[in-house]
Amino acid sequence: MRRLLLGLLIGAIGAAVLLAPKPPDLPAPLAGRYIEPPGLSSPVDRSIWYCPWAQSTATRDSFLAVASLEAATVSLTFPVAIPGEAPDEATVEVPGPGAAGIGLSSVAQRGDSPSFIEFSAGPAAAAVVVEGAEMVAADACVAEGPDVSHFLGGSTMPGEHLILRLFNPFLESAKVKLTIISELGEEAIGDLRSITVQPEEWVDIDLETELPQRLEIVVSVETEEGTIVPAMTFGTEDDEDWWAGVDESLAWEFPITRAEGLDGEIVIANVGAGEVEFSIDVLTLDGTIFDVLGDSLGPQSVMRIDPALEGYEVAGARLVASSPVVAGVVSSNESGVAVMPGIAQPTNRWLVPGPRTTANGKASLWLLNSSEETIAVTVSAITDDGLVGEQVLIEAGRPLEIEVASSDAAAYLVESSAPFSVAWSVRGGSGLGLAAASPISGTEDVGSGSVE
Amino acid sequence: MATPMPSETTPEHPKGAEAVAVYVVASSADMLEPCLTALERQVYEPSQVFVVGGGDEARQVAEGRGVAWKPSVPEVMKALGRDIVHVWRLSDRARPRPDALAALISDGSRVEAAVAGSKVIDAEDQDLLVSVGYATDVFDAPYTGLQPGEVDQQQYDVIRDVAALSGASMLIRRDLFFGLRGFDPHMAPTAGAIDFCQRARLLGGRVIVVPSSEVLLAGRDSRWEWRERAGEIRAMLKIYSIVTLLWAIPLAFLTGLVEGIVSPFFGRWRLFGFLAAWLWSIVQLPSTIVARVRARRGRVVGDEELFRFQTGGSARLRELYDESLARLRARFPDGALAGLSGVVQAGQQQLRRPAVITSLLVVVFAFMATRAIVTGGLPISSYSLPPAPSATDALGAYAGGWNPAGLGSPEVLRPEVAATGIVQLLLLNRPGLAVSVLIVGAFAAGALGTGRMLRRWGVGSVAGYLAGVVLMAGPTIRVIAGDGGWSSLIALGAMPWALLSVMAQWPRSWWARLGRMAGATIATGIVGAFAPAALMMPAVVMLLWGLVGVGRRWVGALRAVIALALAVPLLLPWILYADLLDVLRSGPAAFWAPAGEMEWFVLGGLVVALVGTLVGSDRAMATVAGWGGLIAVLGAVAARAGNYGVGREGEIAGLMAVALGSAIVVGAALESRDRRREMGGALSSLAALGTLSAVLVLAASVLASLGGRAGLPEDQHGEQFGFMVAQNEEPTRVLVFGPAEDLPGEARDLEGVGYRVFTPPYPYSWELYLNEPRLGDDALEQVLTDILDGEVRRAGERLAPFGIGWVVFLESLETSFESRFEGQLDMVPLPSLDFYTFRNNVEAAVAIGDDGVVWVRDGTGYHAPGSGGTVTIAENADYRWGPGEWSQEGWANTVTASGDEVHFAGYEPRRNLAVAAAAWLALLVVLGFVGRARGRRDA
Repeated sequence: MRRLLLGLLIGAIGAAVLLAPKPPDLPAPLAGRYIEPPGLSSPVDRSIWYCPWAQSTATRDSFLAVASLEAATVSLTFPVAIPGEAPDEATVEVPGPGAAGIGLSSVAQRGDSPSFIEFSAGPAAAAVVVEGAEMVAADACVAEGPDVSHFLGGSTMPGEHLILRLFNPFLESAKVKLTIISELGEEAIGDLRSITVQPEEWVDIDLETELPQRLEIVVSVETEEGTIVPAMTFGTEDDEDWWAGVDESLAWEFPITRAEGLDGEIVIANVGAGEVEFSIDVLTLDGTIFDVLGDSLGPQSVMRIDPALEGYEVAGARLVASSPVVAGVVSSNESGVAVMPGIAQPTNRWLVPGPRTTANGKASLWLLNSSEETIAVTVSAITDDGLVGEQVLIEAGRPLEIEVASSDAAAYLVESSAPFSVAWSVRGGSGLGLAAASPISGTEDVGSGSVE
Repeated sequence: MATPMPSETTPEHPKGAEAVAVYVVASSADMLEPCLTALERQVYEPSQVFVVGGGDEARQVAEGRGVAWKPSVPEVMKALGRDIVHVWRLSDRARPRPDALAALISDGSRVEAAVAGSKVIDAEDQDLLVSVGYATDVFDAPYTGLQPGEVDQQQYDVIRDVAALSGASMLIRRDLFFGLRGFDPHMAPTAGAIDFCQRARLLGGRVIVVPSSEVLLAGRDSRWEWRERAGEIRAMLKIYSIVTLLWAIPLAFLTGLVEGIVSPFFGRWRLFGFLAAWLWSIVQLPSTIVARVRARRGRVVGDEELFRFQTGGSARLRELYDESLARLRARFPDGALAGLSGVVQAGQQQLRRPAVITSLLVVVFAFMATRAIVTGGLPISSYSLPPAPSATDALGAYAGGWNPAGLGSPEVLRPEVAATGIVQLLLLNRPGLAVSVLIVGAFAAGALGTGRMLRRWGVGSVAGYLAGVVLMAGPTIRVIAGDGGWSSLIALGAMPWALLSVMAQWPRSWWARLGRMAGATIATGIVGAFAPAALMMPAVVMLLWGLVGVGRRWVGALRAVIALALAVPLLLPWILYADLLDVLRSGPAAFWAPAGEMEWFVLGGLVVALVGTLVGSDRAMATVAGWGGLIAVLGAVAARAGNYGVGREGEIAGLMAVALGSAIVVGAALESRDRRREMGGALSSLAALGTLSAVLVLAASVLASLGGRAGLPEDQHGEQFGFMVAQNEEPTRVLVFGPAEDLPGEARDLEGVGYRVFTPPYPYSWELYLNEPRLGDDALEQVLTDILDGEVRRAGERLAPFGIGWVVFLESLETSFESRFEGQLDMVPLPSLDFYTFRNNVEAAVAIGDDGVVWVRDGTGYHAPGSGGTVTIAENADYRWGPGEWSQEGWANTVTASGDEVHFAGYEPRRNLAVAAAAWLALLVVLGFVGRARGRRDA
């Protein structure tokens, strides 16, 4: 009996053991999180801007302009292309909102000095204007970039130079794959197909040496390992300009293609495998002229279009394609040349560090309202006294030029309640610079409403 | 029917009352003739004479002499007359004296011998003794006891029982002759004779030597020596019980191997014979099994009866030893070796007992099961971490000092740190040796302690020690030690001694009682120190015995409770400051489940062993088995109670109970083999089934321990982070991410990802358990969250204040967390390693002076390489850092040191408690020794 009881007791407990419920499974690590692969992106309030093209030599200098809507400490770092050598550094304080600038020659005077700029607060933006006796180049620095960057607008005809810069500001090696198409189709580029860039260094690829006598060159840079910041510079005997790469898009806006003393051509590239159809609307001060130009573009091909229309001196443009394309505008005047990729995504707020009217040239802001309604835009100069702004109305489908006065303002905040596009230019005797403004993400209603 | 041989002379041929048939085993005609001549002269005339075997030549000789020839012994058996009472087996090399048979008959009948043998003398030198019966060793190798060249001076002329007789002359009782079917035809002569005599003894027959019966032995045995050895193996397999075979066969193999390796040094080449014998034994195994069944049928005695007539040790190794001594004596003066010989002889006396042999085997098992740790060091993985390099530092940290785990804290360390430190101190501050001694000692102590413990209920030593093997190498060890918890093995090894101390017969003298209670307290304290969650287990187990046991059973429970109460102060100060519930609940939820078919098989075997013993064995063993089963299932309840809050340590404590219960069940089941005869019938068969299952469980446990790592995991971190330690540079911390079970020690959690910080190359055991999060831990978590959110592009700068110079991901996460570090401006990825590693490009240091000089770790403190000054210490802030002016720098410490070193001043009350615990331990040790000594004296 005793054995039976003991056996039953053991059996009952054993059954309870077998039937014990299993604890719930632990959730997967970082459940619900999607962590994007590393790239150039950084938080808005602690942004990092990469400026791959800046020079300081005997004949030219660069002005690094920074602007922030919040008080921030701005750290500028200039890697030295000597292994083991510490980078050059500078720091400026920006009141909020505020802007500042620093000449590269005050930090380092050794020719090429790509850099990256860190803001302790934001939203912020940075830009570089390179000025010399016979050139003006300008573009915004980049805070983010696509996986594949496309560059168009350059050529390697006699007297021209085209250089692709691959800047690696990080501590790991980067490896990129290049694809180049020209008017002849895809180019065989041999060793150029795969390039390795060491940490905190940059590589310049002289395309006029590699691919001379090309009317149109489109370079696609795909990052395979690490992260790099590519940039292109194009120069003629008179001037040179630099610009950042862009992704493909179905639509592009060009706040300015033609103005007084400024002629521009739209360059379109189809880097895909299929044929693309596109149409271009010309936006003038009198209103949009729709579908002025339309055509189709075969795969791996590039086309340059002059959107000039009789009787219209000031014009912007809007391009719409059946498949993603790359587009930009190549502008020129008697003093220089400038290349600016189009703006793929109009937005409500733009920060424009950099434009200054100096002895070297006149700076202008170019605003484009491609919508069907009039919008009210507040253009505020960021001065030592804060924002000093004015409100302007831009009618539907029209561009607007705002000349930048010669003042201490080193940056502008341009905002509206509706999306629009902004570019800026520097035109002078020594050259021409043209660049898109820097969009501010996380837009808020700033009180400027559209006006019917 | 054979006719009697004609006789050349006509001596008096008294016809005895008992008719005898003789059969001569012939090998050649030359040998046969003189043998038959000697037979003709026997004064005691045999009724029948046969010649067996030898071929045609022998047949011709036999027929020429008028003697019947038979091809085999069974034919002789068929031809035996009904009146035959004895059968006299002779070798054809034998030349019996005329009165040999008469002496065998008269003296053999007088003592009612079943088998009687003659004294064998060399035919060429009739003073030379060949055999007066044999002893054997446990491996059935013959041992004559004679010195080489020993002369017959009648010094052995006394009728006595022996293990075996020479096959040259053997008088066998007819019924036994028929029952045993003669000699085994597969065996060589000597082995066959040993086998025959053992089989006779197993059936209750007496085997004696009759020195008055003299037989001269001519010629030499031409058989291969390996056939004799093979015959001995076969004899063992036929005659011994399964339990004896379990240790005897492996030991026979080992000793044979040793002999084979050593024998060339003595001019003999026995290795090949050894191998041939074992191969032959394997080939012949089927027939051996059949012969075994036949031999053991109807047996009336057990192996113990055979052991009575056996010598200890190995006869063959002794022979080599004797020869080596003889050679040494030839070189050295007399007396120099006398003492050595005496010691060896005394040892050999002890080796006579199977319990001693089994205990030695258990010690060998302990070394085998832990050999990888002894030879290669402790594997560093998960919770298997080595002790701190300095025992005094560890003891100081325990006694109110700084807890160095993670970013440090003043939290009290676990008592295992102090316990290991004490052992390490005794071993001259050698941490690797301390761990090896602890683990090997735990294995041996656990196995031996189980045997001693089970002996209390009448479980034999052999069964008990084998049950101890199951305790330390059973199916639950995979989990107990699998995540590296070697401290739990120490606790498991001490468990049987904690139980034995309270259940053993209580001594009479008060001193002895004090000593016994001191021992119980120390053993319980060891359990609690190394496995705090199992501290109460001895008391609970004894309470269970009180519920289900027999006899005076509650006294043991009372003593266990007293021992528990007395053991608690040994765990000071930890036990006062620790959250004991949290200890039970911490870690992954407990849900033990057997992994793989083998473990399910073993568990099934345990169940069968339990049921078989519970139902089929006698009351005592059934109770013991039931007690063990109850302990095991209750332990399993705890080990699977994760859904009710039980964590890792609770699971391990539960599995320790399962291991203990399993061992008890196995011990009872093995012991039931001998007791089942009392039950008889179907119940006996059930008990036999239980025994068989227990044997299978034991075999599986031994197999599982062959890896030699004591169940501990493979080394993972021993070399993994070594590259982070540069020569002549103070290492910076490493931040490691990965699954919590893959990280060394306890880990913190960041949204399901485990992480922890330590100083490479690996953390030590005092860093196993992390403190409750303090300011620094919260700050680090915030930094990691910012990095995870993508808010940070200079992670190096953010991690440097924590002294973190490296970031490692042991496993690539599906969410690519490590990619957050790839895009950092100040973290250098190192792609050439097996796992994602990032080096901080910002200078980091755990302790750095304001002059930028890195301070060097010294125990749990730091000292300046130069003259001192102000130092920032990246440890959780605590005002007791000094000496000097202390201030809190965020979450860290800044000390303006008064000298060139800084340390945590310590917590005085905790130090005092630790000292008190040490004093209490010392007192218990003294009481234990004194009590034991006095108890022996009084006894």
